[in-house]
Amino acid sequence: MKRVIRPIPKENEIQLNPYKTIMSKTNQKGIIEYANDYFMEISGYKEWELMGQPHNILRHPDMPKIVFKILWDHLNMAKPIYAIVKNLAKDGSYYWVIADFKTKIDNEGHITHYARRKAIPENVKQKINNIYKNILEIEKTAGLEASEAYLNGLLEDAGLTYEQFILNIMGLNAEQLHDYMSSEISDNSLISGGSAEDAIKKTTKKKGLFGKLFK
Amino acid sequence: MFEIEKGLEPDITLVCKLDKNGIIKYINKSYTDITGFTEKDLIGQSHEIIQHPKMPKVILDRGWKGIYEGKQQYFVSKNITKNGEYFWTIADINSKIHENRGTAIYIRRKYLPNDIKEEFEKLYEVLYGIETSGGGEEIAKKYLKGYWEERGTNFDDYIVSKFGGEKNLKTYMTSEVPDKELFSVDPTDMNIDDILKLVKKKKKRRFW
Repeated sequence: MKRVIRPIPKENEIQLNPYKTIMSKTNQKGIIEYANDYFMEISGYKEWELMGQPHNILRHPDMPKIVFKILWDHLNMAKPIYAIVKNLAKDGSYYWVIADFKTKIDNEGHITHYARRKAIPENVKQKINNIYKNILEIEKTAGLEASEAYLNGLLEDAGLTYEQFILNIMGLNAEQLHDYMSSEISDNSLISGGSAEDAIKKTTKKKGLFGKLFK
Repeated sequence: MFEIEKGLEPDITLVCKLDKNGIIKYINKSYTDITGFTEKDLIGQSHEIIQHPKMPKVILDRGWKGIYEGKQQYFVSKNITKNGEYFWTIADINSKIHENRGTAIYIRRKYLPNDIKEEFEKLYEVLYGIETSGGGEEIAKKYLKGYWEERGTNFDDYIVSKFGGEKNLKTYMTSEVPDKELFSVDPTDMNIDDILKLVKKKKKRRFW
């Protein structure tokens, strides 16, 4: 099996179409079994480069490890979880997503993790980027335990669970975020461009939800 | 090699009969007309002779699995002619167990509408790429599973739904009346809608 060499990051952001969904499927160990067309388009990889590879080849060095620890702690217990992630494309560019994970266990006991990812608004990127920067600095100097303790402190201080923290930063309630994650608008007039804010407004409006979303 | 697409008129049916090992026992005239192989070339040979070298193994295995299970199935394949062209077909595969004479496999092939062809061309290219780049068949198999999962369907159901139902597809697969109108259309460039119109027309004629 050939190895994919992890790209060298560069300061170039890939903007996601907020009406499209990046989907993938991994096994218990995070080995990619399936990824959809939009995944290929954004990450810049070809199917034969990604299938059978560990998902962490898309991991950006700006991401604190603690985020993935929380993620895997949930996945290993088959608990659904959201994560806001900066990903690394093949050419070294980056792209931000909010990811939604679900774990399925079939009759034979095979564990599969399903993930769908969507664009996040600009202000969310800025907020989360600042938080991750602090956590990463602590992690680099004092290790994973320290960054975990710091993140826990941050959540305690705000009186939020991890999920509430994600919702809070997205400025949505659980139902709204779920609707945004599951939205798939097939109307092409909507798909041409637009910001993640617009997409969230439209999808939630479409479902009859009135959000005072992004004031 | 295999760069040029051969046009296949939608009313042509390629019929062949194989034994359980995939050895060709019978072919109809259209089969030799289209492939350019003679009966001498084909009878007694493995059916792989008209198989495009980039057909994904995972797709071929699925076909054989269905045959061993004795299930009727639809099959999309990229095939080759004797002089190095390629052509896509949709096939209807049936296997029968004859007393004393063993298993016989009947394959009926017809033109694959252009829009369906484009989707399968892309899918097969991806599968073949995964299989030959060190990933292997297991990984291609998983990819294929995910591909249908994302679309909430499976191979057979997808083909059937593209034709607007089993009845349309069956009618198309069994239609054999030559229709002069068809020859005015570029046979490599007919979409599913054109085919469906055709199927309806034929139905009318048949009742008439």
